[in-house]
Amino acid sequence: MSRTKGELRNPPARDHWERVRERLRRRKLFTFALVVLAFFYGTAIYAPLIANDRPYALEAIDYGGYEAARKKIYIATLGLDNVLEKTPSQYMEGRTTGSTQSYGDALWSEHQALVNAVATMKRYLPEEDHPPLTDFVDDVARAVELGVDERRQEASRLVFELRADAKELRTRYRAARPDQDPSTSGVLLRPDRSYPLFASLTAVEVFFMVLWWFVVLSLGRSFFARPSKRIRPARRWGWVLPLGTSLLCGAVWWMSIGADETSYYPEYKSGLAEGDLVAQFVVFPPIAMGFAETSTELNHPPSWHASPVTAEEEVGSAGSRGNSHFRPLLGTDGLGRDLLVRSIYGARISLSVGLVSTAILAVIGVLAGALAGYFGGRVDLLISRLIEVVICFPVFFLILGVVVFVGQSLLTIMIVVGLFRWTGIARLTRAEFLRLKELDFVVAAKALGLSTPRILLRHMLPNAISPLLVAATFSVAAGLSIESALSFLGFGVREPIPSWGGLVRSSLNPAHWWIQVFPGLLIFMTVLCYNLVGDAIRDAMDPRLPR
Amino acid sequence: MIPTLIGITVLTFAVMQLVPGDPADLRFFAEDSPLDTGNIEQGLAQFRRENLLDQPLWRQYLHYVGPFDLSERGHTWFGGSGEAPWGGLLLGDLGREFFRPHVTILDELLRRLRVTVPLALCALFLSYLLALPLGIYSVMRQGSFFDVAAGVIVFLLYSVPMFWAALMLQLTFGSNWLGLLPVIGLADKDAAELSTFGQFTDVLAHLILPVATLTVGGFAYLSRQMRAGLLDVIREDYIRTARAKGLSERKVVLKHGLRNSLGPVLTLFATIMPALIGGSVIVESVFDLPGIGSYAYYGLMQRDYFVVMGTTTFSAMITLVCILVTDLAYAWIDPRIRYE
Repeated sequence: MSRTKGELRNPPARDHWERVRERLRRRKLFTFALVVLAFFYGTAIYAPLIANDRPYALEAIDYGGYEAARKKIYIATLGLDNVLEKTPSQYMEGRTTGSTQSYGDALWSEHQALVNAVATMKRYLPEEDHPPLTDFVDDVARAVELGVDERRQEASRLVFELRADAKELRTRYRAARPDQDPSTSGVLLRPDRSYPLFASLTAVEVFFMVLWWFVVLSLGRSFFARPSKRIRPARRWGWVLPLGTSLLCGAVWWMSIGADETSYYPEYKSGLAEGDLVAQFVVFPPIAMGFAETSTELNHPPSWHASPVTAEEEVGSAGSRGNSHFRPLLGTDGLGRDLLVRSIYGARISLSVGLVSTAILAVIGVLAGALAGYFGGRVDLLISRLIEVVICFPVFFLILGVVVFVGQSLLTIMIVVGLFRWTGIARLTRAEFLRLKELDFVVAAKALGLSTPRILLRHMLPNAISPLLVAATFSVAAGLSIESALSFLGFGVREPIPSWGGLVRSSLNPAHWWIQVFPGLLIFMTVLCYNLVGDAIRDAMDPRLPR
Repeated sequence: MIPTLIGITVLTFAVMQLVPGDPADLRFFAEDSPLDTGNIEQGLAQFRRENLLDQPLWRQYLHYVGPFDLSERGHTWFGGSGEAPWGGLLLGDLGREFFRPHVTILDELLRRLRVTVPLALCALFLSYLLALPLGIYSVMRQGSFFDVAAGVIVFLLYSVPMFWAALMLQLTFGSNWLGLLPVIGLADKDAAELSTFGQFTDVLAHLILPVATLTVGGFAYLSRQMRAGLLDVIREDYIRTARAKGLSERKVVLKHGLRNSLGPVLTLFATIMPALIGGSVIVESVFDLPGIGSYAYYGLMQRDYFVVMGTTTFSAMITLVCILVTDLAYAWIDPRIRYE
């Protein structure tokens, strides 16, 4: 390798990666692409916080839910009575075909319904009204235990008495609606505060929300912070902190809040509009719409686009929920679903398929290439032949066929998109390993008696990583375009889950140009950014290029 | 060559075995099966028997590859009645369509080849025609405005997803905006009334957008490779020697540089061709052209196992031929390479 003048003037203290980073830092487009990608991934990960039909926080009385729960008390008691009227064997015979519910299960499920109903009621009832309900639930639990213990007669008698109690509770806790009719008698409910949006987040989502910050910060530190003068210590355990923290947050979430669906009220917006839900205050996300939520504005052009909504478009009746000031920034599709919201959620599918499929193909490709390159001989022959065969297939045909026949789930798509594209990386790895295995450090590692996996993964792989990194970056872009093409042809994830390619497909009528333009533009931008990043890394790692 | 061929058949066969259930299940019980599923058990059993789906894998594979037919009416060696002893892939038998049993898949593919191959070849030719001069000119004027602008445009084109390019071309040139070109099909509805020349121009007009779509990706890929390859060569010592001799820049690049960088670019033919055939699924379904791609799409939509398998094998064969041609061409261009 020839040295350029600049390198002679600088002290040769910096290592290879330091130099690579320095070069990358100078590429403005690389920075730009990285920021855009971070933004896209952030949007995808934080999608539920940006666009959702559930509010962040809500202090409200849910009259609809309360009334349903109040009636449920008596209905569930009746149900219990019904089950207890039969002997276990009678019950087993009378089951609907296909049911695997045992006698005890039937009893406990009625009990559970009751517990849920009472929990809902307690949220809105003043404290002093709680004891009768608690007592009632305890009595029911005792009855159920008796019933499960084969003391059916006693249980039945107890439940018969409880029926009267349930009836009494039902009348006693009728809700008063001072907002509608000041004269109604009944219990005055108090508003309950809940955080429905946060309650609906899953542990996995929380994991990625935390991890995203670590990734962004570490990328930022790598490329934009001043390099320190000190010699950087090897960070072998650098991944532990981010991954550990994210996992911990996910786990804590899973154990505390994650499974809490009791505060779920499915239709917050329609509830508020129709008066079933009376809110003291309510905070919705910036875009108060879910990704599958329909509206009456079918095929509405973008709100900034000056085009009068024709009468024909007004007529649609796909959903009758009131979105009084609904302004679709990117327009809506044929079911009146907001394209912006769907694009935000679609990013999750599209971006994750690109990444995961690349991870899969990298693992397969590196393994196959490393084995072929290191061992040579028969192994090499076999793997090279396999590569030759796989290369012959137009990848897209193969992927299409398998996805269609195996099933259009997200997991299948990720695996299949990864599975048939490993040949590029395998060839690169093979070439690199062929070169490396003759070098002194590998011979030395062998002479030291290190195990083969250790030599391959710890000693050779890090020295072969540059071309692989570049290839992997490009392959994320390729995976993303393959996934979007799949979805565009209608073989992607199934409706109503959005993915960018599938969104383009939702109307091919040229009059609805916004549907074809915007999601496609997002795909284009993401692919472009990945290509920019890959290009920049390749140039930065190329030892022959001056500068 | 032969091992690769066998490998292709094994891989296609193996991949299709991964499918849960068998083709019969797929066809009769898929969620969106086009058949109505009442009173179907009998048809199912018959379909299984006719296509050997109830038999061991090696028999299925042999039946698929040929040249023996292993079904009930097949060769007597395998317990058949000997009415139709030969069949299978080796004899070009890819089976029949399910919903149109009178159509053999091979005939249909050959018929549709007349659309796909000219399309792909046109796109390929155009890609080379545009990419080579562009790459050469960029390298000769390295760092000039032209070089930078061409680089940016090529980079943008390189990142455009093919289906989106097709749609955007349709939007731009179709009746919605410019109204210049037809965007659907291979010919106008009333094409039969036109003169021969009229028909010719009509088909040509219909082909412009599909060819353009296919060209975009190939062209961008090629010109990037062309530029990079040429730049690599330009740094070689013999180029410095050529310059030192006092040759003009034009001569240096065209004679010494281009000839040495052309080989790798020509071999890319084998990379681009499968991509073009794969891309034909998209292009042909967007522009509604009756080629192999839209046939594959039809097979996928109908869940027709044999159509999908047939198109996949067939396109793999085409690719193999392309690779072979490339290898030979490479030996012809670069006499240092010899094939025993």
